[in-house]
This record gives sequence, C-alpha cells and structure tokens, in this order.
Amino acid sequence: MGMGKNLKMKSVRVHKDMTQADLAARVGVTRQTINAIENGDYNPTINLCIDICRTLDVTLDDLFWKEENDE
Amino acid sequence: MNKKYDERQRWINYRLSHHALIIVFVLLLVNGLVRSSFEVTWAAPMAETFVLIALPTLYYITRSLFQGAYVGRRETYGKNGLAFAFIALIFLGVFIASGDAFIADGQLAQDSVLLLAGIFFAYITVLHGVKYFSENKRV
Repeated sequence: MGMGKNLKMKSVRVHKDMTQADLAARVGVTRQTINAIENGDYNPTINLCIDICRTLDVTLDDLFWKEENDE
Repeated sequence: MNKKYDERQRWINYRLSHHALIIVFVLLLVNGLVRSSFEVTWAAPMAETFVLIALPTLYYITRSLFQGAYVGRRETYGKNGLAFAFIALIFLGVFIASGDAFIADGQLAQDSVLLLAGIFFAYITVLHGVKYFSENKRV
C-alpha cells in the first residue's frame, strides 16, 4: 500500500519541534502509525488526515495534496 | 468502533485475521488428507487440535506484534510480556511436575499439550520482550 514518502508532513512536524510520539499522542494513534504515514506505508483515512492537519495547524492541501508530477 | 486500536492497527489486524483463517483452512485440509489418505495419526486429539490452533495464532501474533498492531494504542509490551511469561511458567511447571511423556506410541501424547502451551506462551513472551526493548531503544 505504498504511496511514496510524505516528506511534507515530516517537515512540518519537525518544524513544530514535535517527535512522532508527540504527534501520535496528540492525534490519538500509535507512534508507528505516524511513522507508517510519513514513510508512505499506510494511507490514512480522511478523518485522521484532518486530525493531523489540525494538530500541525496546516491544511489538508499543505500535507496531503500531490501534484501529478510529485514523486 | 474499537477504541483500543487506532485505524492502522485495525486494518492490519483485519488483514492478518484473514491470512490466519486461510492458514487454518490449509492446515485442516492437509491434516484431513494425511489422516484419511495415509491413515497416519500423528497426535492425540487434544494435541492435534492445539497444534492446528496454535500455528495460525502464532502467525497472527508475530506479524501483528511486529507491525505494532497487537497491544493497542497504549503499547503495553512490558506488562503483557510479564503476563505471558507467568502463564508460560505455569504450563511448563505443571508439565515438568507431572513427568508425563511428550511422545507416546509414536505420536504427540495427550499431556504434551502442557509443554506445547508452555512453549507457545514462552514464544509470545520472547516476542514481547524483543518488541519492548526495540521500542525503548528507539526513544
């Protein structure tokens, strides 16, 4: 179920000075789930995407929208 | 909705449950063929049942644990590991104390279930230990 690494999410998280465990605790998932999303190993539901965006204070487009020539 | 697990954990557990079910079907089929075609009885009924249940269960637990989907969001590897270690010790202790044979008349004996259950839970304990230390090392 690979979809390419989500480097935008990792970048925003690091910029907010949060670890994967911090973000996971805030969103209510395990650290491995955040890790899987960042590595492109898991495709999150829209609800989880929204929770992550709200926690990181960005929009869905900022984190999850991909142009056709991305990757 | 099960709040103990997050959505990725549920997805993994559904997928692995499906795999485990297929393994059960294959094991039952192979066992049935061996027993009926070759008239081979390789274990006493309870031991046979235990093996047929344990193999897919171990597959499920091993993969689920290493994909971080077995213990829920709270990731209680340490506590779970200790609980499984306690159960393993009880089974192994009872088997050793009973002095029963593991194999009798060329097949797994009825009381071999105690040893098999001990090994089963000891294996799960080791898995939890490995996961516990790998997670703690990461932090």
